[in-house]
Amino acid sequence: MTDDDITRLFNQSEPPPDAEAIKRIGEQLKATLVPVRPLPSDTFLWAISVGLFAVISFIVALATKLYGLSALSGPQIAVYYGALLIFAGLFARSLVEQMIPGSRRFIPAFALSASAFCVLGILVFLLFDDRSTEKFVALGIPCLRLGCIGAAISGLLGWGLFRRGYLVTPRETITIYGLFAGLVGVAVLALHCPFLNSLHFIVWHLGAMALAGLAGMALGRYADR
Amino acid sequence: MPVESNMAPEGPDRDGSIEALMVAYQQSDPNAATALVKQLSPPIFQLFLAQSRNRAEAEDLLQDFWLRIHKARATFRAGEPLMPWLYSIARRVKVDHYRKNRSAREHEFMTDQLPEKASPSPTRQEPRISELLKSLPESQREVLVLLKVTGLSLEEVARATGVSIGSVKQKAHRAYEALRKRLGNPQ
Repeated sequence: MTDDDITRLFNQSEPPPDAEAIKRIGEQLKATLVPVRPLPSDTFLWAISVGLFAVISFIVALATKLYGLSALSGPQIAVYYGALLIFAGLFARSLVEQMIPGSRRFIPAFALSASAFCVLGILVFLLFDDRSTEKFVALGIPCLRLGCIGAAISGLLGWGLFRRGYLVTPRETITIYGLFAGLVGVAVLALHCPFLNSLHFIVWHLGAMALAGLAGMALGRYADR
Repeated sequence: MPVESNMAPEGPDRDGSIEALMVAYQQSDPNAATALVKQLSPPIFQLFLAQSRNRAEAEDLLQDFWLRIHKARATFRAGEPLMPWLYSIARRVKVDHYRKNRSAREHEFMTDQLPEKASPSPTRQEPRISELLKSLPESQREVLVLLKVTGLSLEEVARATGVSIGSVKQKAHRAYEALRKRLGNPQ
């Protein structure tokens, strides 16, 4: 049997579905038909996501004072905040891709999540020389708490925008949503926390993002039942 | 306007009229809803039928599919290709159905392993495509059905399944290889 024969097998048509069943489905849809507003364009969704990331991070950090901003040097601000903004753009892009059924996927969700932790971890390790562990937990817990609060606020505020978009891949979409909200928590801490200790950043700041990601994963599994 | 065919509409502008219907459906035009169901049910049914055990199951899937489309209709944007959007939702319906019935299916699989008396006698000259596809891994089967039964392009299959075009090509190639072996003609 040749490839053409296999293709011919695929072209054997089966009888169409029962006409009565099709009519019934049509009636069912018509019974609950109301106008819906289509989701905005990818670019709009992306821009609004990045905008929300920046605004929520800044407002929450402002409410808790911008000690981190004044503690960092110019190059540290450029590199660290720049990296956070780049990852915000990538997470927003990935989230939009996940939200729209049948959209082209440029960013694999797992690779993005793993690279966010690795790149940010390596970056803060190189940026901040202090690696002492004095009062490690006592200083870390308030940061973890604030990071989680920032993530929760952004998660709740952003849900109005994203709630219509997890029908096809709920697990992946809500996990990415959780990580993106966690990135807001990291950004809040980057603006607020004055401790320039790389281990503190890696464990407590990125820990807030990991917790938000885990929460997203759990919610995604729940939605995917 | 509806095309009474059991194959996917072909041609470069096949999305054009259906897309217009979809937009009208979003604006709650009841005629558009009926026309869409009539026009798209046959190819979607073929897709489900190629991967399910019987017509009744495929009809259940078709019904679930339309309910899901109804829920998700706001996520379609005019100007975007409709086919990958539809088939990615169809794919999701199939996955959910598979999960729901996994335990029942596992039980049936065990009974399928019983001696010959459980297997039907081969009365056909050529195997049915759904029987052939059972021998393939799920991901290869899905790609092959989307390409060959529904007539989607590589790009559309990549969008519908959320993978790269290269991965689609590779899965289709492996599926063909496996089918050739199964049909006793390794090339």
